[in-house]
Amino acid sequence: MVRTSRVRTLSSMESDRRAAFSALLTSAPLELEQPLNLSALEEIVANRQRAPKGALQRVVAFDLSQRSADRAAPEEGRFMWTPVRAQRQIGLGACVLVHEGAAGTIVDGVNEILHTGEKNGLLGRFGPGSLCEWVGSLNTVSRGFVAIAASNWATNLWNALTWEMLGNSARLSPPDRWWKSDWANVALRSRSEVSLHLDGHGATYIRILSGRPTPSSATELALEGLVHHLAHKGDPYPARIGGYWPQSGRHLVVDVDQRILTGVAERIRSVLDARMSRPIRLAA
Amino acid sequence: MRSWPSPIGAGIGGDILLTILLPYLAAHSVSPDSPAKGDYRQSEKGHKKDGKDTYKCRIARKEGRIHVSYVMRRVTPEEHTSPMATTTQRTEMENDNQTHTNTAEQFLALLCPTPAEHSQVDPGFSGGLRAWLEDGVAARVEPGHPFGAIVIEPPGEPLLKPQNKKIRQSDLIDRCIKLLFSLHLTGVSVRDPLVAIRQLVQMDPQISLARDFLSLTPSGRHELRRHLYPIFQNMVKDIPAVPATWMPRTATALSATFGSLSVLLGGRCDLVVGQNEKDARQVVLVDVRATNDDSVNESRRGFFALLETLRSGLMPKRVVTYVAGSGLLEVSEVSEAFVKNAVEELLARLETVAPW
Repeated sequence: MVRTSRVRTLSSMESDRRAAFSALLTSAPLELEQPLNLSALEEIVANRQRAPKGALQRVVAFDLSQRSADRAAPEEGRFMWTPVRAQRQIGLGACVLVHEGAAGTIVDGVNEILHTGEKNGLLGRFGPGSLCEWVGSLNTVSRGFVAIAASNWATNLWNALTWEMLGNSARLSPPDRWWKSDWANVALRSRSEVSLHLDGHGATYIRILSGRPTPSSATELALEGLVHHLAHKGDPYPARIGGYWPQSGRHLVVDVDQRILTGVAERIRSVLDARMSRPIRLAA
Repeated sequence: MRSWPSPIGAGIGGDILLTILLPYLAAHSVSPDSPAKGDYRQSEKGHKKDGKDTYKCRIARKEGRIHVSYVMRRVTPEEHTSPMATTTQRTEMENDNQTHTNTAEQFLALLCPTPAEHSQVDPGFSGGLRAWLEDGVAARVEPGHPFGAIVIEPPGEPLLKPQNKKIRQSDLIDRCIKLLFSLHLTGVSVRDPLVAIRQLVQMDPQISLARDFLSLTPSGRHELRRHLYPIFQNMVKDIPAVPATWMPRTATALSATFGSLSVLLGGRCDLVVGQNEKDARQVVLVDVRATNDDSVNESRRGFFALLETLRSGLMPKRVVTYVAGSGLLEVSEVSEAFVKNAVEELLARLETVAPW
């Protein structure tokens, strides 16, 4: 169970929530009551007796969410790019261009990526089924529609924070971080839109999410912290993760500790157990 | 050319909408999957404020939630005699090019308020509204009601699955226009609206109108084109592309929840311009409609103003309704009284359907 004191939200009386969110993210770190016991966490996630066999089991934040639990069966069928699926990657790229001064506005940044991203690598690698290939195949109208989705997403990210308050410590679009167990076929993924590295603070990650927070949101956010600590075992400071839901204007900031991370590890364990107990489907 | 809203038009609009909806409502009251008989409640007492306006409500269940849609039948003339401090302006666009040019400039001027135009913002206003709504809803909805979350959408929103052909068609036209508005506003050149929509549906079958669009027969498509084309042409003349520096966001989903009661206010605003910071703290919202519906336009503006205030903590500067079919622009300058009025209206509507 997550302790309330380390999971904070913004008051609805707050009129400048952007500044308040930025202030909360850069505030002094909360002290740990006891040092993190990472080997205990690792043992819960990748239990030696119950280690999954066969293919590598990847766990991402969505797997821990209530929406995932409510879903009767995993999504089947071929992956297909859509504007909603593409908006994060394109939007993040646009924010990076604006942050670096290479584009004047978010819309300019998005257009730059859509029109020249294929050549200069802004859209990632070209290959079958890649975003780069998909964007290249779009007609003008569809490309315009993708640009709208990406611009909306990027504007939400851009408006989420008071960038001046973060100083030079903010890094947009940090790469996904993975942690893989040494003895079990389990890998955890951490993904964020912005990371902060302030002196005297632990790592801070910021996520932009759709919809509104659910009871499992704190656990989903804390996964970033678990991956960070398992991957950087010497870090003495607890990680902090901020989540912002632009559609509902809600904020959540989680400062992890042993209790929160244990809750996340146990949730991962239950997800893995559920996968192991799922009947195997044989093709007809 | 500016004129004040026509009181006659307001009354007729509401009646027509009700007349259109009634066959559908009656036809569906017996279906086992649709809401049970009695779920459609019409307020006999009427609106609390003037004792004359009535609401027709529809309750539908979807994914374990209750969706409340309602249309308002405004009996009282829409005059500016109510205590709310709104400034409603209406601009009728004429069909000559000169007027359209002026309108385009006027539209841009509405979207970009200068810093001096910003209204005073009380920092605790949003929190106070939330508390008021929590209390108001708690007094009307029993805690632990068996329906799960209650979703409240903007007034005049299309029903979930309209069976009536005319309503379905008008709903589809409305959604097509909203989509085309997004494209046009961001500078995408659209030659044929129907071809553009087909291309979008082919690219992303998850677009909300995809299923309805794909199920159209050839004659249905022809009919859609016949209705859509003139409205789209009007829109292209009326609406200019918005500068990128204003940070336009189109088709933006807004929502606000009241945690303890699982009440969700949700809606999709067709355009949000500006950002909540420093010199441009307040945003401007635009609600696009394919055809005019006087009975709900102002209520919708109030609803969106309330939603944005709850969502961001700041009132929007103004809310604009743009009717693409007639080129009508209606503007409400948002004040505390305007938002409070929206809360009162919302609670009055909840009362017409409670107890569940």
